[in-house]
Amino acid sequence: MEELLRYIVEGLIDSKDITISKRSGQHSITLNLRVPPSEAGKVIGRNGRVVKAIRDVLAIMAARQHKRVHLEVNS
Amino acid sequence: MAMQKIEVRAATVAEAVAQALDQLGRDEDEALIEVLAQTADSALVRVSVPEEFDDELELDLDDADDAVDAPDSAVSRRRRQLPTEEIIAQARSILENLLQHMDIRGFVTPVVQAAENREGEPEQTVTLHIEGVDEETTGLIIGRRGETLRSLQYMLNLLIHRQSGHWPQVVIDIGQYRQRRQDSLEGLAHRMAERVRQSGRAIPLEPMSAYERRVIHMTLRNDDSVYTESSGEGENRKIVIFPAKGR
Repeated sequence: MEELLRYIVEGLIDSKDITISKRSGQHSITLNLRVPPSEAGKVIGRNGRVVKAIRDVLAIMAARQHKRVHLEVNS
Repeated sequence: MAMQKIEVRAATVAEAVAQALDQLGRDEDEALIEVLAQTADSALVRVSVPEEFDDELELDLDDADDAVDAPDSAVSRRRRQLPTEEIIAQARSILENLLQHMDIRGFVTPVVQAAENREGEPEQTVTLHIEGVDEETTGLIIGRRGETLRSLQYMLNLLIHRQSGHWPQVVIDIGQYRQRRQDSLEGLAHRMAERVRQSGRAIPLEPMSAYERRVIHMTLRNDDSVYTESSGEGENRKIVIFPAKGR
């Protein structure tokens, strides 16, 4: 899951400074993404459109493991 | 340049393309692939290749690459309109990487289709067909009312844009979802138009994506008894079907 998120975010921003941490529960996975403040907008997008797309793509993978995924973006 | 064309029918797009290329003895990157017909269990494709693939063509492409930085050159204008082989290859590889990172095993087959845009000008659409994925995963990738597929497609185009600087508007299809959705939208358009005719009153449809609204507009374009307009903003933008004026 982290690798998928990293692949996407690396493709979206102009920095290699990406930190991802993961907490797994029985029914859910929480991913915490940290990027430099200057790059946060590229991950979130106008009206959160980009971050919604990232969440939807992550959710495909999580659903195959019968889990929900939460993505938090920090900068 | 003279083209050699063959048409092949097989169970899937990927299979039909592979058979056609086999018969021609050519590689995928030399060929123009069009899907002529597709149903749940068969696909008809036309594969065209240049009669002779000569070095001159490759030289032209090299020159084009050098010229791409020049703003407003004929080459860069052409590149904005037509997805080049390079961008198609890029799109395919990004989608394959995304699937691989999701632990989903599938085949990605790019297909170029010529269609008319709103102004009636010819326009190329690249569709990446995902095949060989089990039914449950296919459903997850499509999502409720195609929303997840739309997100995956948006993500793909964003990543292509970041790599290439172009907005090629690549479409992703899986399990013939696009074709099935188009059929059901066309049915809906005809049924609602009939109700508008009967009642003489305008009927609004559910909010839809730009692509879906376009299908409805196109379906009813030649129906003189009604006309269609979109209203609302963003996620809530929807089509209203009106009875023709003066009736």
